[in-house]
Amino acid sequence: MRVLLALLFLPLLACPPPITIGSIGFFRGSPLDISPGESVQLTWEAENAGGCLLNPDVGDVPAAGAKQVTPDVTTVYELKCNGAFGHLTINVRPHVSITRFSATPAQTVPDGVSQLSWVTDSAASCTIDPGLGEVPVNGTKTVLPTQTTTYTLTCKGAGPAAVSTTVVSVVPVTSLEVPTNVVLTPQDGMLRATWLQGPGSANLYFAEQPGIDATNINTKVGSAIFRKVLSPFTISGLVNGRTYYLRVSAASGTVESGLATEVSGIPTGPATGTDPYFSEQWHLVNPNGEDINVSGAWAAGVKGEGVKIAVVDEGVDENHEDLRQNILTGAGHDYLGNAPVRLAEHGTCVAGLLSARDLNGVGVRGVAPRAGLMSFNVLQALTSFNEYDAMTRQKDLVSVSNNSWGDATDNTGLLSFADPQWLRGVAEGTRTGRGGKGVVYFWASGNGGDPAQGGLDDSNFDAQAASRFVLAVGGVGRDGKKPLYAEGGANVLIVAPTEGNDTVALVTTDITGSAGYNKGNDPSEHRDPNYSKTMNGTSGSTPIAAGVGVLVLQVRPELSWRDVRRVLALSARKNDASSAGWSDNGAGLHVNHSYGFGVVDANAAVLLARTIVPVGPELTFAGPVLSQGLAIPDNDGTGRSSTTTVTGSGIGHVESVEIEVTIAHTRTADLELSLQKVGGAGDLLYPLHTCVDTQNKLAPCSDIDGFVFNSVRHLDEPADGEWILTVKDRVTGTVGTLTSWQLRIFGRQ
Amino acid sequence: MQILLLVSVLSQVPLAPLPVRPVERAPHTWSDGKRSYKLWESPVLIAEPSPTSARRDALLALEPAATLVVDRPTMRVWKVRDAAAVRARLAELRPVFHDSSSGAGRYRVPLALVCDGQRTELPWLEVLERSGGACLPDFWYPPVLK
Repeated sequence: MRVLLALLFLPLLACPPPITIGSIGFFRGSPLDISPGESVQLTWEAENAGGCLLNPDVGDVPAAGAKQVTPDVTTVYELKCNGAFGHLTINVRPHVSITRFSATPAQTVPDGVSQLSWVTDSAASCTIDPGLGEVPVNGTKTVLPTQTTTYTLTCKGAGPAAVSTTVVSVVPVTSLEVPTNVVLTPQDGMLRATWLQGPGSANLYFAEQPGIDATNINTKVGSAIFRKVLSPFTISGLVNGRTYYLRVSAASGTVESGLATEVSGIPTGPATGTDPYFSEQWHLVNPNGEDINVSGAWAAGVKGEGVKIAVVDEGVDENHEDLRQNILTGAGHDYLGNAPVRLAEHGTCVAGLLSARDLNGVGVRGVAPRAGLMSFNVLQALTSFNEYDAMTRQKDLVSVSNNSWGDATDNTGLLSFADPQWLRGVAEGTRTGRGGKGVVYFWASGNGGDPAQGGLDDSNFDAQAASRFVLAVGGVGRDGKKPLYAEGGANVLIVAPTEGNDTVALVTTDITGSAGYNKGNDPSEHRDPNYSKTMNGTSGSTPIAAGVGVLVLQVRPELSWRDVRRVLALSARKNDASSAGWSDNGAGLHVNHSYGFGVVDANAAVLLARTIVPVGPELTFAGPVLSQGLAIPDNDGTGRSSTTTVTGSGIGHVESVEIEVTIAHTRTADLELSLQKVGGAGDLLYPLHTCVDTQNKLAPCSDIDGFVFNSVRHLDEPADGEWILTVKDRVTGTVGTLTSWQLRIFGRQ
Repeated sequence: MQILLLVSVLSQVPLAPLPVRPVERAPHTWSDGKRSYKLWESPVLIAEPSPTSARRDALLALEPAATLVVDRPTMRVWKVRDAAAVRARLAELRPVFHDSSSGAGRYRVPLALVCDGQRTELPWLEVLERSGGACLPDFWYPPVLK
């Protein structure tokens, strides 16, 4: 029995009592990623455990709870609860630090070289002040301080910003040796200057005529002074086959050495070459539709050589493989001081249409492929006074200013006054620029012409495009017809190719790599990411027309801006022959509200430019301000007219007409405003249209209060005669008054 | 009891977003010395000159639903529910002015006054009110690519 009893209890004696293992429901931390000094909230919950052990640094904790920890370095926390384990890694980002920041040499002369170099740890971004702005997190930069300067490197990342300084001591010199071994090495469209010198930097005196000295440099053809530069220095935007001259001085602060002996160089390029994507540029050569007929001009050697263009835009990728040969070194202006190239996609496309280099084995071709380019990236900081600056900067050098932008919104139907500073700039540039011959401003007519997109704009509503000082350029598609979006207007001088209603756009340069419009991963884009085939709008047509203006100025550089305007209008080609908008003005010139005088024709323009007689001094006629207070009948197809009779103006050939109008009317959307020269052209100044608000809902249109409309349609008509302004109210409901208007005519004998 | 019930019901209804305020009807004016121009202050747009991440963070902390309308290196323009209220809290922000009463079309930010070539940054109201004669405003504009 005992044995039996013992056997009965044996299993119980052999098996230990059951062991209960704990389990961890959760073990979390928030946040998991911290900077030193920040804390993490650890939370957990375990089952079947009387308590837990949390390590490192914590110890015994309840089975469920929370604990705040502040690890200095990345730490793996272990939660141990009755045999169960949980692990959690808290990542502690190291504080940003600067390992080294130094200047070599630490002492130099005014405008002498010192190289800053720096190494950082865990930095996300760095800046160096003064002067350098954003810099890589590790790197070197050359500085040319004029006085003893403390450079401050500030790097951001985890934790407080790291700051380090280094001082470059600047000790003035009393005299400088003349540089030696000055050499000009020819390249394609460029000359590479090298020299030897002592301390400081150098001033380069450069011109297309020999006999340079420091006092006569400004009288030399094609002269430029490059100050505070270092050897080697490349001067670009030059004409192959032309001889250039250079003298070099050493400079340090206010001390300058004598000039080294004059040297000369002749840029040379490949005799032949290709532009592999040229065949895709339908706007240049298109046997089956519209183009600008430029081949003949190129064959005659007219490619824009010696003519300088300002691309007023967001900026240009000046190192682009197809642009850099034409970039005028040191002539452009960066309104930010250190603008990143990624912001320059629009301007890079514009620059390529104007002047992408030809026959260089890469890319595309500009209309004027040998012209010099300078970039004014004013759109990065578009203020009133910067607008003035961009219109007048380098005004003695700039022949053509391309403007594929505005400061007024399209597709609203509203009137926009020009900023007074901008107006002052274009008035000054046309009057005094280019040695008094005037900068030629090309301006995009606008893209607000499609009623489906909102309010219906006329180019005349935008006082920049409608200024008498600019040449407004509209658009035409491959089929020769107006794209729906392109704005017409009495102010539109000509049109040029751009994306039409078939949605085939323009092929041109884009920012190098994937930073531009072409990211390299869009099957609808160009296969080469350095180029785009999506450039469109009147932004695209304007540089094409401007390029033709450049060709005109190559063959006749003495022509004034008004001559260029007249050459382009008289040589333009009638397109879209079935358009009902064509009519002849009083001088027998075909003109159309949508197309101006037609499509720009490069070959015809160059031929005309060779022979045209310059217009001479500008004559002005200002009529009386007619303040008749005429009531405008409501919903009346006849409207109300006011006539001014011009006699004895002396203007035998009109160039442009300004019409300043004030109308008191509470619903200007109901109105239609036109001007008719008896025996001449008629101008639709203010078509019946709608205006919209920010939600694209119908909204009141602008007051017409002293607004200046412009017409170029009367080209070469005599000014004398009757001019009739008619205002019609085409919608029932409100009435108003033609308060006042004035006619101003500009032209020549 | 009825009031209590109403309060109880209201407390369970999600708060509707503040309505977007229409453009103020009373315009401001500025002058170029020859004529004056009207401007309408935007009730919902606000300008951040010389943008910084700290200022952006401060704005978003104040108005998390603010949306970026224009992002340029020298200027950011934000859309908020009540521009005046935000500006009252963040004094370095500037008002945005429309050229039209509908709020469509061009807008601008008064930055400074330039008198005889001397540029002075002033409060926006002073920029507008003192304009004319030898003093002209320096406005910032959002560029339009055509």
